[in-house]
Amino acid sequence: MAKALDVREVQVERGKRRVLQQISFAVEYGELVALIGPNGAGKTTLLETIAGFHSFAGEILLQEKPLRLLSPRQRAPLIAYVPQISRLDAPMAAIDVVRQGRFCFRNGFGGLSPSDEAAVQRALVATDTARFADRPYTELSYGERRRVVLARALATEARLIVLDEPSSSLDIGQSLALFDTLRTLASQGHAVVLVLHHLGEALRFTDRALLLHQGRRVALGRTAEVVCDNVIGPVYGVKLLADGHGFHALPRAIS
Amino acid sequence: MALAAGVVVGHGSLADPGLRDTLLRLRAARVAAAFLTGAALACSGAVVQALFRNPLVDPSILGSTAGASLGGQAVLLALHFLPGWLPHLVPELAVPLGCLGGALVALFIVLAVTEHRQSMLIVLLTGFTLSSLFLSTGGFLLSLGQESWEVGRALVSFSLGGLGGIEVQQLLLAFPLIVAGILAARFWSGPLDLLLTGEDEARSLGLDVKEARRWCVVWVGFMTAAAVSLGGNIGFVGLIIPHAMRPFVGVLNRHVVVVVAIAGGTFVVLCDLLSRALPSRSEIPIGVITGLIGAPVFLLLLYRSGRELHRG
Repeated sequence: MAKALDVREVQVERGKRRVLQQISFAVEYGELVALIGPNGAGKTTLLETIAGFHSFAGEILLQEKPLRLLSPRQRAPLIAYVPQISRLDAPMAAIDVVRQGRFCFRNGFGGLSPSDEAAVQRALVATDTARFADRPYTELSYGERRRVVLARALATEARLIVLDEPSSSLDIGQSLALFDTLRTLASQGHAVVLVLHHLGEALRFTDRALLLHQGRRVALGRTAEVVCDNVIGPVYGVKLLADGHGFHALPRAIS
Repeated sequence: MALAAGVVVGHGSLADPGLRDTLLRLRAARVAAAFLTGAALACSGAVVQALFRNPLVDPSILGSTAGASLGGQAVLLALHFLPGWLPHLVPELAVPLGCLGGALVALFIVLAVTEHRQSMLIVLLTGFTLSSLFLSTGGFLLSLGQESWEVGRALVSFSLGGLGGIEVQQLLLAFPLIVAGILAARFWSGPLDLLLTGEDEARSLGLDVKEARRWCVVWVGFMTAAAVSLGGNIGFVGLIIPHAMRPFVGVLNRHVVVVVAIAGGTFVVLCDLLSRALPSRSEIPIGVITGLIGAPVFLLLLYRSGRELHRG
Protein backbone atom coordinates (compact mmCIF):
# COMPACT_ATOMS: atom_id res chain seq x y z
CA MET A 1 0.00 0.00 0.00
CA ALA A 2 1.24 3.49 -0.85
CA LYS A 3 2.63 5.53 1.99
CA ALA A 4 0.66 8.62 2.92
CA LEU A 5 3.85 10.59 3.34
CA ASP A 6 7.46 9.86 2.52
CA VAL A 7 10.06 12.41 3.57
CA ARG A 8 13.56 11.70 2.23
CA GLU A 9 16.73 13.52 3.23
CA VAL A 10 14.96 16.85 3.53
CA GLN A 11 16.94 20.01 4.21
CA VAL A 12 15.52 23.49 4.68
CA GLU A 13 17.49 26.71 4.85
CA ARG A 14 16.38 30.12 6.03
CA GLY A 15 18.81 32.70 4.85
CA LYS A 16 22.22 31.17 5.50
CA ARG A 17 20.97 29.07 8.41
CA ARG A 18 20.09 25.42 7.88
CA VAL A 19 16.99 24.79 10.02
CA LEU A 20 16.36 21.19 8.98
CA GLN A 21 19.07 18.69 8.14
CA GLN A 22 18.71 15.29 6.47
CA ILE A 23 15.25 14.52 7.84
CA SER A 24 13.75 11.22 6.70
CA PHE A 25 10.63 9.44 7.84
CA ALA A 26 7.47 7.93 6.40
CA VAL A 27 3.86 7.81 7.58
CA GLU A 28 1.39 5.02 6.84
CA TYR A 29 -2.35 5.38 6.61
CA GLY A 30 -4.12 4.70 9.88
CA GLU A 31 -1.43 6.03 12.21
CA LEU A 32 -0.91 9.12 14.33
CA VAL A 33 2.65 10.42 14.29
CA ALA A 34 3.86 13.12 16.68
CA LEU A 35 6.64 15.58 15.87
CA ILE A 36 8.25 16.41 19.19
CA GLY A 37 11.27 18.33 20.38
CA PRO A 38 12.30 21.40 22.33
CA ASN A 39 11.53 24.92 21.12
CA GLY A 40 13.48 25.73 17.97
CA ALA A 41 13.96 22.06 17.06
CA GLY A 42 12.31 22.60 13.65
CA LYS A 43 8.97 20.84 14.26
CA THR A 44 6.75 23.56 12.81
CA THR A 45 9.18 24.20 9.94
CA LEU A 46 9.07 20.50 9.06
CA LEU A 47 5.26 20.48 9.20
CA GLU A 48 5.04 23.61 7.05
CA THR A 49 7.54 22.18 4.57
CA ILE A 50 5.40 19.06 4.23
CA ALA A 51 2.40 21.35 3.70
CA GLY A 52 4.27 23.03 0.84
CA PHE A 53 5.10 26.42 2.38
CA HIS A 54 8.90 26.28 2.18
CA SER A 55 11.37 25.36 -0.51
CA PHE A 56 13.58 22.42 0.39
CA ALA A 57 16.29 20.08 -0.78
CA GLY A 58 15.60 16.33 -0.82
CA GLU A 59 12.29 14.73 -1.66
CA ILE A 60 8.81 14.70 -0.17
CA LEU A 61 6.23 12.34 -1.62
CA LEU A 62 2.50 12.69 -0.96
CA GLN A 63 0.82 9.43 -1.94
CA GLU A 64 3.98 8.77 -3.98
CA LYS A 65 3.61 12.07 -5.88
CA PRO A 66 6.54 14.51 -5.61
CA LEU A 67 5.41 17.51 -3.58
CA ARG A 68 7.45 20.00 -5.57
CA LEU A 69 5.69 19.03 -8.81
CA LEU A 70 2.20 19.61 -7.40
CA SER A 71 0.38 22.92 -7.83
CA PRO A 72 -1.55 24.18 -4.79
CA ARG A 73 -4.78 22.97 -6.39
CA GLN A 74 -3.35 19.48 -6.96
CA ARG A 75 -1.85 19.39 -3.47
CA ALA A 76 -4.95 20.40 -1.50
CA PRO A 77 -6.89 17.13 -2.01
CA LEU A 78 -3.84 15.16 -0.84
CA ILE A 79 -2.86 16.98 2.35
CA ALA A 80 -4.92 19.05 4.78
CA TYR A 81 -3.12 21.59 6.95
CA VAL A 82 -4.46 22.81 10.29
CA PRO A 83 -2.54 25.80 11.65
CA GLN A 84 -1.95 26.43 15.32
CA ILE A 85 -3.91 29.67 15.03
CA SER A 86 -5.87 30.51 11.91
CA ARG A 87 -5.39 34.06 10.65
CA LEU A 88 -9.05 34.19 9.67
CA ASP A 89 -10.78 37.03 11.49
CA ALA A 90 -13.71 37.73 9.19
CA PRO A 91 -17.25 37.30 10.55
CA MET A 92 -18.29 34.71 7.95
CA ALA A 93 -20.59 31.88 8.98
CA ALA A 94 -18.75 28.83 10.30
CA ILE A 95 -20.22 26.70 7.51
CA ASP A 96 -18.76 29.07 4.92
CA VAL A 97 -15.36 28.60 6.53
CA VAL A 98 -15.79 24.83 6.23
CA ARG A 99 -16.90 25.26 2.60
CA GLN A 100 -13.51 26.81 1.85
CA GLY A 101 -12.19 23.28 2.13
CA ARG A 102 -13.89 22.49 -1.17
CA PHE A 103 -12.20 25.35 -3.03
CA CYS A 104 -9.81 23.05 -4.88
CA PHE A 105 -12.75 21.24 -6.47
CA ARG A 106 -14.54 24.34 -7.72
CA ASN A 107 -14.25 26.24 -10.96
CA GLY A 108 -15.12 29.83 -11.87
CA PHE A 109 -18.57 31.12 -11.01
CA GLY A 110 -19.92 27.71 -9.99
CA GLY A 111 -21.18 27.07 -6.47
CA LEU A 112 -20.76 23.88 -4.51
CA SER A 113 -22.01 20.66 -6.05
CA PRO A 114 -24.20 18.26 -4.00
CA SER A 115 -21.14 16.07 -3.42
CA ASP A 116 -19.22 19.12 -2.14
CA GLU A 117 -22.07 19.95 0.25
CA ALA A 118 -22.15 16.33 1.41
CA ALA A 119 -18.42 16.50 2.19
CA VAL A 120 -18.99 19.72 4.14
CA GLN A 121 -21.78 18.10 6.15
CA ARG A 122 -19.62 15.07 6.94
CA ALA A 123 -16.85 17.37 8.17
CA LEU A 124 -19.32 19.28 10.37
CA VAL A 125 -20.59 16.04 11.88
CA ALA A 126 -17.09 14.60 12.40
CA THR A 127 -16.01 17.68 14.35
CA ASP A 128 -19.32 18.26 16.13
CA THR A 129 -19.59 21.74 14.67
CA ALA A 130 -22.97 21.40 12.90
CA ARG A 131 -24.87 22.99 15.80
CA PHE A 132 -23.11 26.33 15.41
CA ALA A 133 -22.53 26.14 11.66
CA ASP A 134 -24.58 29.28 10.99
CA ARG A 135 -22.92 31.44 13.65
CA PRO A 136 -20.24 33.95 12.64
CA TYR A 137 -16.76 32.50 13.01
CA THR A 138 -15.57 35.52 14.99
CA GLU A 139 -18.29 35.01 17.60
CA LEU A 140 -17.20 31.46 18.40
CA SER A 141 -15.05 30.48 21.36
CA TYR A 142 -11.40 29.67 20.79
CA GLY A 143 -12.03 25.93 21.03
CA GLU A 144 -14.99 26.13 18.65
CA ARG A 145 -12.88 28.02 16.12
CA ARG A 146 -10.21 25.33 16.27
CA ARG A 147 -12.85 22.71 15.51
CA VAL A 148 -14.21 24.73 12.59
CA VAL A 149 -10.71 25.01 11.10
CA LEU A 150 -10.29 21.25 11.60
CA ALA A 151 -13.66 20.74 9.86
CA ARG A 152 -12.42 22.86 6.94
CA ALA A 153 -9.36 20.61 6.67
CA LEU A 154 -11.56 17.50 6.76
CA ALA A 155 -13.81 18.94 4.06
CA THR A 156 -10.88 18.65 1.63
CA GLU A 157 -11.20 14.87 2.13
CA ALA A 158 -7.42 14.67 2.07
CA ARG A 159 -6.28 11.43 3.70
CA LEU A 160 -3.18 13.02 5.18
CA ILE A 161 -3.85 15.62 7.88
CA VAL A 162 -1.08 17.69 9.42
CA LEU A 163 -1.75 19.78 12.53
CA ASP A 164 0.43 22.32 14.31
CA GLU A 165 0.03 22.08 18.10
CA PRO A 166 -3.69 21.31 17.86
CA SER A 167 -4.23 21.13 21.62
CA SER A 168 -2.50 24.36 22.64
CA SER A 169 -4.81 26.73 24.55
CA LEU A 170 -7.59 24.11 24.68
CA ASP A 171 -9.02 23.04 28.01
CA ILE A 172 -8.76 19.40 29.05
CA GLY A 173 -12.23 18.50 27.78
CA GLN A 174 -11.62 20.11 24.40
CA SER A 175 -8.22 18.42 24.11
CA LEU A 176 -9.68 14.99 24.84
CA ALA A 177 -12.45 15.54 22.31
CA LEU A 178 -9.92 16.65 19.72
CA PHE A 179 -7.67 13.62 20.17
CA ASP A 180 -10.73 11.40 20.13
CA THR A 181 -11.66 12.88 16.74
CA LEU A 182 -8.11 12.41 15.44
CA ARG A 183 -8.03 8.79 16.63
CA THR A 184 -11.37 8.15 14.90
CA LEU A 185 -9.97 9.65 11.68
CA ALA A 186 -6.91 7.41 11.90
CA SER A 187 -9.10 4.37 12.47
CA GLN A 188 -11.00 5.37 9.31
CA GLY A 189 -7.76 5.24 7.33
CA HIS A 190 -6.42 8.77 7.58
CA ALA A 191 -2.78 9.49 8.34
CA VAL A 192 -2.30 12.16 10.99
CA VAL A 193 0.92 14.06 11.66
CA LEU A 194 0.92 16.55 14.49
CA VAL A 195 3.34 18.83 16.24
CA LEU A 196 3.02 18.38 19.99
CA HIS A 197 4.66 20.20 22.86
CA HIS A 198 3.20 18.08 25.64
CA LEU A 199 5.04 14.80 25.78
CA GLY A 200 2.23 13.30 27.86
CA GLU A 201 -0.21 13.86 25.01
CA ALA A 202 2.24 12.32 22.54
CA LEU A 203 2.66 9.28 24.79
CA ARG A 204 -1.05 8.85 25.35
CA PHE A 205 -2.54 9.60 21.93
CA THR A 206 0.00 8.89 19.18
CA ASP A 207 1.39 5.69 17.68
CA ARG A 208 4.85 6.89 16.73
CA ALA A 209 6.99 9.92 17.42
CA LEU A 210 9.78 11.72 15.59
CA LEU A 211 12.09 13.54 17.99
CA LEU A 212 13.88 16.57 16.54
CA HIS A 213 16.68 18.60 18.06
CA GLN A 214 18.42 21.56 16.42
CA GLY A 215 16.98 20.65 13.04
CA ARG A 216 18.15 17.06 13.14
CA ARG A 217 16.33 13.78 13.63
CA VAL A 218 17.29 12.30 16.99
CA ALA A 219 14.88 9.39 17.21
CA LEU A 220 11.95 7.82 15.38
CA GLY A 221 9.89 4.94 16.64
CA ARG A 222 6.96 3.88 18.77
CA THR A 223 6.10 6.80 20.99
CA ALA A 224 6.72 4.84 24.19
CA GLU A 225 10.23 4.04 22.97
CA VAL A 226 11.01 7.66 22.08
CA VAL A 227 9.42 9.37 25.08
CA CYS A 228 11.68 7.73 27.66
CA ASP A 229 14.40 9.10 29.86
CA ASN A 230 17.43 7.87 27.94
CA VAL A 231 16.17 9.42 24.65
CA ILE A 232 14.25 12.49 25.80
CA GLY A 233 16.43 13.35 28.78
CA PRO A 234 19.60 14.49 27.00
CA VAL A 235 17.63 16.47 24.40
CA TYR A 236 15.47 18.40 26.85
CA GLY A 237 18.02 18.43 29.64
CA VAL A 238 15.63 16.75 32.07
CA LYS A 239 15.25 13.56 34.03
CA LEU A 240 12.00 11.71 33.35
CA LEU A 241 10.48 9.98 36.34
CA ALA A 242 7.78 7.50 35.44
CA ASP A 243 5.16 6.30 37.91
CA GLY A 244 1.88 4.45 37.65
CA HIS A 245 -0.01 7.52 36.49
CA GLY A 246 2.35 8.92 33.89
CA PHE A 247 5.68 10.66 34.16
CA HIS A 248 7.25 13.77 35.63
CA ALA A 249 10.30 15.69 34.57
CA LEU A 250 12.97 17.21 36.75
CA PRO A 251 15.93 19.36 35.71
CA ARG A 252 18.78 16.99 34.98
CA ALA A 253 21.10 18.87 37.34
CA ILE A 254 18.76 18.27 40.31
CA SER A 255 18.28 14.62 39.55
CA MET B 1 -34.70 56.53 -9.02
CA ALA B 2 -31.24 58.08 -8.64
CA LEU B 3 -30.56 57.45 -12.31
CA ALA B 4 -33.85 59.09 -13.33
CA ALA B 5 -33.20 62.07 -11.08
CA GLY B 6 -29.74 62.38 -12.57
CA VAL B 7 -31.23 62.71 -16.02
CA VAL B 8 -34.01 65.15 -15.03
CA VAL B 9 -32.09 67.49 -12.69
CA GLY B 10 -29.68 70.13 -13.97
CA HIS B 11 -29.30 73.51 -15.55
CA GLY B 12 -31.51 73.97 -18.61
CA SER B 13 -35.17 73.11 -18.87
CA LEU B 14 -36.39 69.92 -20.47
CA ALA B 15 -39.59 71.76 -21.35
CA ASP B 16 -37.72 73.42 -24.21
CA PRO B 17 -38.28 71.06 -27.18
CA GLY B 18 -35.18 72.40 -28.93
CA LEU B 19 -32.91 71.55 -26.01
CA ARG B 20 -34.65 68.44 -24.65
CA ASP B 21 -32.90 65.83 -26.81
CA THR B 22 -29.46 67.35 -26.35
CA LEU B 23 -29.90 67.76 -22.59
CA LEU B 24 -31.21 64.23 -22.21
CA ARG B 25 -28.34 62.80 -24.22
CA LEU B 26 -25.70 64.77 -22.32
CA ARG B 27 -27.22 63.98 -18.93
CA ALA B 28 -27.73 60.31 -19.76
CA ALA B 29 -24.04 60.07 -20.72
CA ARG B 30 -23.11 61.86 -17.50
CA VAL B 31 -25.29 59.61 -15.34
CA ALA B 32 -23.88 56.52 -17.05
CA ALA B 33 -20.35 57.82 -16.48
CA ALA B 34 -21.11 58.56 -12.81
CA PHE B 35 -22.56 55.09 -12.30
CA LEU B 36 -19.67 53.34 -14.02
CA THR B 37 -17.12 55.43 -12.10
CA GLY B 38 -18.73 54.67 -8.76
CA ALA B 39 -19.16 50.98 -9.58
CA ALA B 40 -15.52 50.66 -10.63
CA LEU B 41 -14.12 52.50 -7.58
CA ALA B 42 -16.32 50.66 -5.07
CA CYS B 43 -15.68 47.25 -6.60
CA SER B 44 -11.93 47.97 -6.72
CA GLY B 45 -12.12 49.00 -3.07
CA ALA B 46 -13.76 45.72 -2.09
CA VAL B 47 -11.13 43.75 -4.01
CA VAL B 48 -8.08 45.51 -2.52
CA GLN B 49 -9.57 45.31 0.98
CA ALA B 50 -9.89 41.55 0.59
CA LEU B 51 -6.51 41.28 -1.10
CA PHE B 52 -4.71 43.11 1.70
CA ARG B 53 -6.95 41.74 4.49
CA ASN B 54 -7.40 45.32 5.56
CA PRO B 55 -10.72 47.21 5.46
CA LEU B 56 -8.90 50.55 5.62
CA VAL B 57 -7.29 50.43 2.19
CA ASP B 58 -8.70 51.60 -1.12
CA PRO B 59 -7.61 51.40 -4.77
CA SER B 60 -5.21 54.31 -4.34
CA ILE B 61 -3.04 52.05 -2.18
CA LEU B 62 -1.55 50.42 -5.28
CA GLY B 63 -0.60 53.76 -6.78
CA SER B 64 -2.84 53.10 -9.76
CA THR B 65 -5.25 55.97 -8.99
CA ALA B 66 -2.41 58.47 -8.72
CA GLY B 67 -0.75 56.90 -11.78
CA ALA B 68 -3.96 57.18 -13.80
CA SER B 69 -4.45 60.75 -12.64
CA LEU B 70 -0.87 61.66 -13.57
CA GLY B 71 -1.29 60.00 -16.99
CA GLY B 72 -4.46 62.02 -17.62
CA GLN B 73 -2.79 65.26 -16.49
CA ALA B 74 0.26 64.60 -18.66
CA VAL B 75 -1.91 64.08 -21.72
CA LEU B 76 -3.96 67.23 -20.99
CA LEU B 77 -0.73 69.19 -20.82
CA ALA B 78 0.69 67.56 -23.94
CA LEU B 79 -2.48 68.27 -25.93
CA HIS B 80 -2.08 71.96 -25.23
CA PHE B 81 1.65 72.53 -25.42
CA LEU B 82 2.48 69.82 -27.98
CA PRO B 83 -0.59 69.82 -30.25
CA GLY B 84 1.08 67.71 -32.93
CA TRP B 85 2.17 65.08 -30.42
CA LEU B 86 -0.95 62.97 -30.74
CA PRO B 87 -2.01 63.70 -34.31
CA HIS B 88 -4.07 60.58 -35.00
CA LEU B 89 -5.93 60.43 -31.72
CA VAL B 90 -9.31 61.95 -30.96
CA PRO B 91 -8.68 64.32 -28.01
CA GLU B 92 -11.56 62.78 -26.03
CA LEU B 93 -9.78 59.43 -26.15
CA ALA B 94 -6.31 60.76 -25.46
CA VAL B 95 -6.98 61.52 -21.76
CA PRO B 96 -8.53 58.09 -21.01
CA LEU B 97 -5.63 56.40 -22.74
CA GLY B 98 -3.25 58.54 -20.71
CA CYS B 99 -5.02 57.38 -17.54
CA LEU B 100 -4.77 53.77 -18.61
CA GLY B 101 -1.10 54.20 -19.44
CA GLY B 102 -0.41 55.85 -16.07
CA ALA B 103 -2.24 53.13 -14.15
CA LEU B 104 -0.45 50.37 -16.05
CA VAL B 105 2.95 51.98 -15.43
CA ALA B 106 2.11 52.09 -11.70
CA LEU B 107 0.98 48.47 -11.69
CA PHE B 108 3.99 47.34 -13.71
CA ILE B 109 6.29 48.91 -11.13
CA VAL B 110 4.34 47.41 -8.21
CA LEU B 111 4.39 43.94 -9.78
CA ALA B 112 8.08 44.22 -10.74
CA VAL B 113 9.13 45.33 -7.27
CA THR B 114 7.04 42.68 -5.53
CA GLU B 115 7.73 39.80 -7.95
CA HIS B 116 10.33 38.25 -5.66
CA ARG B 117 9.16 39.84 -2.43
CA GLN B 118 5.82 38.36 -1.54
CA SER B 119 5.21 40.45 1.57
CA MET B 120 2.03 42.52 1.51
CA LEU B 121 3.92 45.18 3.45
CA ILE B 122 6.29 45.59 0.50
CA VAL B 123 3.30 45.95 -1.85
CA LEU B 124 1.72 48.57 0.41
CA LEU B 125 4.94 50.53 0.81
CA THR B 126 5.61 50.40 -2.93
CA GLY B 127 2.07 51.63 -3.71
CA PHE B 128 2.35 54.39 -1.12
CA THR B 129 5.72 55.53 -2.46
CA LEU B 130 4.46 55.51 -6.04
CA SER B 131 1.35 57.47 -5.05
CA SER B 132 3.52 60.11 -3.40
CA LEU B 133 5.81 60.25 -6.42
CA PHE B 134 2.91 60.54 -8.88
CA LEU B 135 1.11 63.16 -6.80
CA SER B 136 4.29 65.23 -6.56
CA THR B 137 4.84 64.92 -10.30
CA GLY B 138 1.19 65.86 -10.84
CA GLY B 139 1.79 68.97 -8.71
CA PHE B 140 4.75 69.82 -10.90
CA LEU B 141 2.63 69.44 -14.05
CA LEU B 142 -0.01 71.63 -12.43
CA SER B 143 2.58 74.37 -11.91
CA LEU B 144 3.62 74.06 -15.56
CA GLY B 145 -0.02 74.29 -16.62
CA GLN B 146 -0.50 77.60 -14.80
CA GLU B 147 1.16 79.31 -17.78
CA SER B 148 -2.15 78.89 -19.57
CA TRP B 149 -5.36 79.72 -17.67
CA GLU B 150 -7.38 77.15 -19.65
CA VAL B 151 -4.92 74.32 -19.11
CA GLY B 152 -4.48 75.19 -15.45
CA ARG B 153 -8.24 75.13 -14.96
CA ALA B 154 -8.56 71.82 -16.82
CA LEU B 155 -5.82 70.27 -14.69
CA VAL B 156 -7.34 71.51 -11.43
CA SER B 157 -10.78 70.34 -12.53
CA PHE B 158 -9.37 66.92 -13.47
CA SER B 159 -7.56 66.52 -10.16
CA LEU B 160 -10.68 67.50 -8.17
CA GLY B 161 -12.87 65.14 -10.16
CA GLY B 162 -15.73 65.99 -12.43
CA LEU B 163 -18.13 64.35 -14.83
CA GLY B 164 -19.04 67.35 -16.97
CA GLY B 165 -18.59 67.12 -20.75
CA ILE B 166 -18.40 63.33 -20.88
CA GLU B 167 -18.27 62.09 -24.46
CA VAL B 168 -19.79 58.85 -25.71
CA GLN B 169 -16.35 57.71 -26.94
CA GLN B 170 -15.04 57.93 -23.37
CA LEU B 171 -17.94 55.80 -22.16
CA LEU B 172 -17.36 53.25 -24.91
CA LEU B 173 -13.71 52.97 -23.88
CA ALA B 174 -14.39 52.71 -20.14
CA PHE B 175 -17.53 50.54 -20.22
CA PRO B 176 -15.92 47.23 -21.32
CA LEU B 177 -13.00 47.71 -18.93
CA ILE B 178 -15.27 48.33 -15.94
CA VAL B 179 -17.77 45.58 -16.74
CA ALA B 180 -14.96 43.11 -17.38
CA GLY B 181 -13.32 44.21 -14.12
CA ILE B 182 -16.51 43.65 -12.10
CA LEU B 183 -17.08 40.25 -13.72
CA ALA B 184 -13.45 39.33 -13.02
CA ALA B 185 -13.89 40.40 -9.40
CA ARG B 186 -16.96 38.18 -9.17
CA PHE B 187 -15.02 35.33 -10.80
CA TRP B 188 -12.16 35.75 -8.30
CA SER B 189 -14.46 36.12 -5.30
CA GLY B 190 -13.67 32.59 -4.08
CA PRO B 191 -9.90 33.23 -4.02
CA LEU B 192 -10.54 36.60 -2.36
CA ASP B 193 -12.54 34.86 0.39
CA LEU B 194 -9.70 32.39 0.85
CA LEU B 195 -7.19 35.22 1.22
CA LEU B 196 -9.17 36.41 4.26
CA THR B 197 -7.66 33.41 6.01
CA GLY B 198 -4.05 34.39 5.26
CA GLU B 199 -1.72 33.41 2.47
CA ASP B 200 -0.38 30.14 3.90
CA GLU B 201 -3.80 28.78 4.74
CA ALA B 202 -5.17 29.92 1.36
CA ARG B 203 -2.28 28.13 -0.35
CA SER B 204 -2.92 24.98 1.67
CA LEU B 205 -6.55 25.04 0.51
CA GLY B 206 -5.48 25.06 -3.13
CA LEU B 207 -5.08 28.72 -4.07
CA ASP B 208 -2.18 29.87 -6.21
CA VAL B 209 -1.72 33.04 -4.16
CA LYS B 210 0.79 34.66 -6.48
CA GLU B 211 -1.43 34.23 -9.52
CA ALA B 212 -4.55 35.40 -7.69
CA ARG B 213 -2.81 38.50 -6.41
CA ARG B 214 -1.36 39.33 -9.82
CA TRP B 215 -4.72 39.08 -11.60
CA CYS B 216 -6.58 41.03 -8.94
CA VAL B 217 -3.99 43.81 -9.09
CA VAL B 218 -4.30 43.95 -12.88
CA TRP B 219 -8.11 44.13 -12.81
CA VAL B 220 -8.10 46.74 -10.08
CA GLY B 221 -5.67 48.75 -12.19
CA PHE B 222 -7.91 48.61 -15.24
CA MET B 223 -11.01 49.55 -13.26
CA THR B 224 -9.40 52.47 -11.46
CA ALA B 225 -7.84 53.73 -14.72
CA ALA B 226 -11.24 53.62 -16.41
CA ALA B 227 -12.88 55.35 -13.43
CA VAL B 228 -10.25 58.12 -13.30
CA SER B 229 -10.51 58.62 -17.06
CA LEU B 230 -14.24 59.28 -16.66
CA GLY B 231 -14.44 61.23 -13.44
CA GLY B 232 -10.93 62.31 -12.48
CA ASN B 233 -9.74 61.83 -8.93
CA ILE B 234 -12.84 60.95 -6.88
CA GLY B 235 -11.93 59.94 -3.37
CA PHE B 236 -13.50 57.83 -0.59
CA VAL B 237 -15.85 55.78 -2.81
CA GLY B 238 -13.61 52.70 -2.76
CA LEU B 239 -13.18 53.07 0.98
CA ILE B 240 -16.63 53.76 2.41
CA ILE B 241 -18.98 51.86 0.08
CA PRO B 242 -17.60 48.37 0.84
CA HIS B 243 -17.54 49.35 4.53
CA ALA B 244 -21.12 50.53 4.44
CA MET B 245 -22.42 47.49 2.53
CA ARG B 246 -20.75 44.65 4.46
CA PRO B 247 -23.13 44.85 7.45
CA PHE B 248 -25.97 44.14 5.01
CA VAL B 249 -24.42 41.56 2.68
CA GLY B 250 -21.81 39.90 4.90
CA VAL B 251 -18.16 39.37 4.07
CA LEU B 252 -18.40 36.78 1.29
CA ASN B 253 -17.00 38.51 -1.77
CA ARG B 254 -19.30 36.82 -4.25
CA HIS B 255 -22.08 38.97 -2.75
CA VAL B 256 -19.94 41.95 -1.79
CA VAL B 257 -18.39 42.78 -5.19
CA VAL B 258 -21.71 42.89 -7.00
CA VAL B 259 -23.62 44.81 -4.32
CA VAL B 260 -20.87 47.40 -3.78
CA ALA B 261 -20.63 47.96 -7.52
CA ILE B 262 -24.33 48.85 -7.63
CA ALA B 263 -24.17 50.87 -4.41
CA GLY B 264 -21.00 52.69 -5.48
CA GLY B 265 -22.54 53.58 -8.83
CA THR B 266 -25.69 54.88 -7.15
CA PHE B 267 -23.65 56.84 -4.59
CA VAL B 268 -21.61 58.66 -7.25
CA VAL B 269 -24.76 59.38 -9.30
CA LEU B 270 -26.30 61.01 -6.20
CA CYS B 271 -23.08 62.94 -5.45
CA ASP B 272 -23.01 64.15 -9.03
CA LEU B 273 -26.63 65.19 -8.66
CA LEU B 274 -25.70 67.20 -5.56
CA SER B 275 -22.74 68.77 -7.33
CA ARG B 276 -25.16 70.11 -9.95
CA ALA B 277 -28.11 70.92 -7.69
CA LEU B 278 -26.42 72.69 -4.78
CA PRO B 279 -26.44 76.47 -5.15
CA SER B 280 -23.07 77.65 -6.33
CA ARG B 281 -21.58 80.04 -8.88
CA SER B 282 -20.34 77.05 -10.82
CA GLU B 283 -20.62 73.30 -10.50
CA ILE B 284 -19.09 71.94 -7.29
CA PRO B 285 -16.38 69.34 -8.13
CA ILE B 286 -17.70 65.87 -7.38
CA GLY B 287 -14.49 64.98 -5.54
CA VAL B 288 -15.35 67.72 -3.05
CA ILE B 289 -18.84 66.25 -2.51
CA THR B 290 -17.58 62.66 -2.04
CA GLY B 291 -14.91 63.98 0.32
CA LEU B 292 -17.37 66.00 2.39
CA ILE B 293 -19.70 63.00 2.70
CA GLY B 294 -17.08 60.28 2.74
CA ALA B 295 -14.71 61.58 5.41
CA PRO B 296 -17.29 61.93 8.24
CA VAL B 297 -19.03 58.69 7.23
CA PHE B 298 -15.72 56.88 7.29
CA LEU B 299 -14.87 58.34 10.70
CA LEU B 300 -18.29 57.23 11.97
CA LEU B 301 -17.77 53.70 10.61
CA LEU B 302 -14.30 53.64 12.13
CA TYR B 303 -15.66 54.78 15.49
CA ARG B 304 -18.42 52.15 15.44
CA SER B 305 -16.12 49.32 14.40
CA GLY B 306 -13.60 50.39 17.05
CA ARG B 307 -16.34 50.39 19.69
CA GLU B 308 -17.51 46.91 18.63
CA LEU B 309 -13.92 45.69 18.75
CA HIS B 310 -13.56 47.18 22.24
CA ARG B 311 -16.76 45.45 23.38
CA GLY B 312 -15.76 42.16 21.72
